[in-house]
Amino acid sequence: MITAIDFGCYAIRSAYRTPADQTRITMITERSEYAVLSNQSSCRETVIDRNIPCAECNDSTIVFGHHTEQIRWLSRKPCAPLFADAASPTDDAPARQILSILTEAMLPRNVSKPTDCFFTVPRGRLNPENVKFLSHLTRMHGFEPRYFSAAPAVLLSSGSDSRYTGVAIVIGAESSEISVSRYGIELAAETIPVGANWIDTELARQYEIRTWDETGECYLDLETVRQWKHDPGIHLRNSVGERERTLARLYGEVLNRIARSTRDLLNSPAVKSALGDDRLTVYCAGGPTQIGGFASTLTERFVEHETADRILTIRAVDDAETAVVRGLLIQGELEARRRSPLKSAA
Amino acid sequence: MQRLSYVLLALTLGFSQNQGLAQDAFYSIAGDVSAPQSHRYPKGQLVRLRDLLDDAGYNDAAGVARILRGTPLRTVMTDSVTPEMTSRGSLLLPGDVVVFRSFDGYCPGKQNALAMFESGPIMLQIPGGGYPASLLFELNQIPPEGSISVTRTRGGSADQVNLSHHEFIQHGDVINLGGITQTAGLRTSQGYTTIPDLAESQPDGVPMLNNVQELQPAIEITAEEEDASPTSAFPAPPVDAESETLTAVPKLSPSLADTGQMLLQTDNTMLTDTTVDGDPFQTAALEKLSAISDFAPPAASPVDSVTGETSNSAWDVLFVAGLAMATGLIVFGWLKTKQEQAAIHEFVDSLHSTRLTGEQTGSSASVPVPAQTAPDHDEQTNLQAVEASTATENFTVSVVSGDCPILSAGLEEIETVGGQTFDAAADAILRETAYADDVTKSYREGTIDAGVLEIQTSEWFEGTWLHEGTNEHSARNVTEEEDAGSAQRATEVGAVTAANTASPDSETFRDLEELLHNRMPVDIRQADLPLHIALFGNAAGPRRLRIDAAHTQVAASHILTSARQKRKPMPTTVAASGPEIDVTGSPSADTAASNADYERFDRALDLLEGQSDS
Repeated sequence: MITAIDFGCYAIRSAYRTPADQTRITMITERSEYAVLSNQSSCRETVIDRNIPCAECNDSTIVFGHHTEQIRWLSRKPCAPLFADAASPTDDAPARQILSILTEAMLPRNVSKPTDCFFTVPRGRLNPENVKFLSHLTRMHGFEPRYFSAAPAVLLSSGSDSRYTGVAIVIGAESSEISVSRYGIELAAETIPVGANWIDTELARQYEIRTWDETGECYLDLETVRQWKHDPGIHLRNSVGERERTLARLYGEVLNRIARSTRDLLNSPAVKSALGDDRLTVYCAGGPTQIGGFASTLTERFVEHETADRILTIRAVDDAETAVVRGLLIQGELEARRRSPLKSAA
Repeated sequence: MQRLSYVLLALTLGFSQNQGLAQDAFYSIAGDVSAPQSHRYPKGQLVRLRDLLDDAGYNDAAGVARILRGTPLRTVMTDSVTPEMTSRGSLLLPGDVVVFRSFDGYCPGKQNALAMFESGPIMLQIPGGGYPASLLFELNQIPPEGSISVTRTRGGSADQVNLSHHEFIQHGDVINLGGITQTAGLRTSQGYTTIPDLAESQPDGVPMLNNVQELQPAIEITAEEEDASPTSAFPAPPVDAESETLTAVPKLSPSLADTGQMLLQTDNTMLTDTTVDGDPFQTAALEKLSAISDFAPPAASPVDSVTGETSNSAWDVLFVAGLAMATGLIVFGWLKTKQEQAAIHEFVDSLHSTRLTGEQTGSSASVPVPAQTAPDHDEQTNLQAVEASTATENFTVSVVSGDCPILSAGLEEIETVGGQTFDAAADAILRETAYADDVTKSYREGTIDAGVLEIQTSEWFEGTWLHEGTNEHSARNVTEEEDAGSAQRATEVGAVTAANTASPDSETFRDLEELLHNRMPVDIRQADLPLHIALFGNAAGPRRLRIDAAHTQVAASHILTSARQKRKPMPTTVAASGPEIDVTGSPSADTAASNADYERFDRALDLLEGQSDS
């Protein structure tokens, strides 16, 4: 069974054909974070009484995945990411084990010989150690790991109307990927180590949005920033209030960096020789692209970098959060179909 | 003035009503409930499945509720509903559509289906024999050879089916008409607009399902309005004796009304019969009707002048000539495309055979593109779409690796486009992009030694993490509770894997098309996590987010400390206070700490304190 899993710094998403009905896709999403509760018996009993999956460490109780939202009221300490700073949790033993448990729960049980599992990693090409680490993990659960980048996956899942030719921009929590492809072949790509977490952190730092845990430790409260940022009324071009203007400015910084990289990629010899001066469609995916006014702000940056004449249109893909994992599944299916005629011919 | 005040009052009321609607959120429900309709809740209110079911007249029957969301609609959640359920079910979002189907199949209300237009949902009441899809085809000007995408729910399952012109819509169906914003004869609103069933759809009365349902013909002219209209000077058309209404929209066929199988039926004959040549009013009505449906208005009477006829005939000749030219171009393009596709198929076949040879011999081979035609294949449309664009290019293919994406078939090294070599471009790609990274590339090509990556579960959980130099030892073993369905799930996966290998190519390529165009239904579910496990090690926690450690010691009150600093030292005698205490003496640990604390104090508070002392 071909499977796909997108290891993200904010969420892990998996997709595969529904075993009972092959004409459907099963998609599972889990938050890639865990919450540490104090070792008080009342906390532990509360979690167990509510049938919330939890884990016990040496001196604390841990809740992970999307269940962290259910116990947020029990602890004021922010959740810890499984991929702290977009790195594999090699030095955080509980996080490493939680990652394994989540992966096992999100992938189908494979009883036959190892089948392909296409996956992405945080920060993609910038961090080959992550590729190695997550390959271990995927192989451990009975699959053959196949790394694939997020941006080409978005082009596969959303670029059928442009014949898989165009620019794909994927903005994640810790990094942003840009890829230029022609007929599905990646011509040039770049990964920028800046994502939505940088925006949230800066916002929390500048406006001193903090929280204190039971022992008095002070933390940046990114969850509050995210909840505020997800308000559908927030618009990057029609900012109301100082905080929204700051958000628009921070977004502008990230998009400015992305537009500059896009310009460099489009002017690279590889892209020039393959695409000439063709105008390309830009596909934007990732949770941060769903904010109001994103497309117009990006257009503004392209104009500033004199790239607008190379852009045909800017599209936020329909399923911005799941486009990557769907593209991974498509890549897996394409690979399987490509191999099957060769096998039959042999 | 009074009239003006009425107008202002009406405008104010209308505006306030619109404001009220804009602040509400709508949730739609269909299926086995007594009141299938769109329910309005205040915006911002958390609405759960059970809330909507209760408002829709849930009759305590066990069943399954499917929650559909998005455009096109897709199932995002499936909740099992029982009378004994304690929770309120899944959280709904504004615009969600819920289809509840009871296990016993009993529907307490009228059988219904839901048509989802871009502008809103429309409720369809289903008579016993089903609702003919042909009616929707006609109302929405869908060609008869087309199809409508329908989500068909039965009990706990839901299928995506494409209904053709002659099929029937059934109870519990959700019809996806997202691309259609307006329907002839149907008026959509933020809530439901209900088409009543045939027995109730006679012209003398349209019963309302709730306060927002309404069926109104597109053009309706009552006899009173006709008399009062300025066109009453023209000869009055014959009025249907059975009703006092002359309706220019598709009329109900009495014969079909008796059978109870069709709600609305267009009747061209009736329209033609009631048309009077030269009646401008009716001609205008028919023109409007033709704009919203496929009816052709009757030919106008020959009253044009001779000059007008001459100019019109010249334009007609010009139009026919242009039409003929366009047809010729289309035919030419079609023939050319067929020829190119045949050449591509020939090329793909030769490419596959060459790849096989290259893999077997380990060498690369060049495949020239043949120019012959080959039999057309209807399948593999997507592959054709990718490769058709390169059909006109004269290129050779060098088979480098068997692991490149399928979309790159025949495109790895294109020799000439615009006078530039793609070999050089490929080299530049490898130099410039991160694909040159050895690790990444080796993973893409699958050349990494599998033995290097071997790692066992015991290593992962017991702490012998040797690959990254971290060597930890666990204190406990994992005591994961196995979920009961894991063995069954594994069996299912194995069976499906075996079934996949036997599936025909046509089916698989159709599936691929569905997947590529995001038309495949998605079941979103949560992972089955173990309820209680034991992990080793100490959790690192949110280290990156921590900006300040907790204070280990609370400083003394600033009032005490500042007073101590400002107060003049008074020498004390041994007699008065025992051993002499050196208040201003050499700095000790206590005084150093108090000085440090003093530096932190707010100057404003000190100033206030000084004023109070004075």
